[in-house]
Amino acid sequence: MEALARRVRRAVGRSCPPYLVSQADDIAQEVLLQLLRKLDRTEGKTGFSSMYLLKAAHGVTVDEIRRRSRRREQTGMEDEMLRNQSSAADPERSALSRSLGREIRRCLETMVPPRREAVTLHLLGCAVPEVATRLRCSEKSADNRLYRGMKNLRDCLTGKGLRP
Amino acid sequence: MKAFADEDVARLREALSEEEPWCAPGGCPNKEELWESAAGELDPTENETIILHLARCSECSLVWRLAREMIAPDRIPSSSVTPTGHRRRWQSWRRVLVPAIAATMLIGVGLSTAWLLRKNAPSPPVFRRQQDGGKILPSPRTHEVPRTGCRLEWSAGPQGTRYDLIATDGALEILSTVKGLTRPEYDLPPEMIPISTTEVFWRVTAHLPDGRTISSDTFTTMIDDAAPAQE
Repeated sequence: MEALARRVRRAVGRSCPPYLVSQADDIAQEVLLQLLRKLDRTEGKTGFSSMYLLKAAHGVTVDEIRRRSRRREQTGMEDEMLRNQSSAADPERSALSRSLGREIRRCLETMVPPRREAVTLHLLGCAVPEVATRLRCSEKSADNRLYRGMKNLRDCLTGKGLRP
Repeated sequence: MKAFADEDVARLREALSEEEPWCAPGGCPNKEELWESAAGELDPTENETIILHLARCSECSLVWRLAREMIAPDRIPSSSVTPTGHRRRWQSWRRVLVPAIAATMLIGVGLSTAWLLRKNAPSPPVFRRQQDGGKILPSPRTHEVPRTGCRLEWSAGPQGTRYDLIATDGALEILSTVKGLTRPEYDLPPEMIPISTTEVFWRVTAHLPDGRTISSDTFTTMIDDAAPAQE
């Protein structure tokens, strides 16, 4: 059981965004409970692969992210953990960054879908080969979409008086 | 010429990752769909819908990014930039060269190992290796089977070996557990395979006559009613 708890904590450590780090223990406990319920249903005859643990940790983390977002929307109150994370960094830079983030999304909306997909994936961390794999196109085509999309993004941000 | 310098792309990425998570109007995909998209498991049309949603939803972007980083952390580019110029040419070459060198080395090691094993162990190789701590191997015929002829087969152990087997579906719901099989095969009754099940995950534990126990990896068998039944 201790070994399973350790694996769960490791999985949650990978699933937790920085602003939820202080919630990591609670999330790990919830994941562990879900796994124990599963073991109970199967009379302990099941094992958990690493991918299953990661998916379970991701699922519970997503629930927490969404719960906090809904609460923020309903109450109109700022999330304390998000605020703490921002104030730990440079607050001015964080505010600028958030406003840039909003404008990037507005610019994305103006692009044709193939470019929008490529730029979105690129801004989420995918390099050209991964963009090509995910969009099921050649690297050349992905590169082309990305090049044109990023140019559109630059023009759009410049038009709003913004630059990264 | 590139639209943005590498450090500007990094800044754009940072701006998106620092956004407050908020959901786009019109509802969000569920967490399983986001996980499957990040894992590359969705069909192209569904995946496209998800990616277009990510373009306008900061909450789902966060969820998708976390899933991607969890599924393949080694794939995350450290500098998060697209290679350019001669660096890109080198990386293109590297993409070909590195696997080619690795494959050559693997083939070399494999051939040497096979030669040594053949030299030292003339009897059937698979289970002799298992006795030395190797793996139980599934029969290739179990890769894809029809629901009405779902025979799970694996490599045989020495005379007198007994096998336990556990089979589950994709949600880890147990379909069947059997103990004490004397032959290295098991026919999974069709009534135990729900209609919605397209994959069966199964694992074998072999109890050798000398008292040792060997557990296999988890094998996957695809259920396809169009697949030919095993004889």
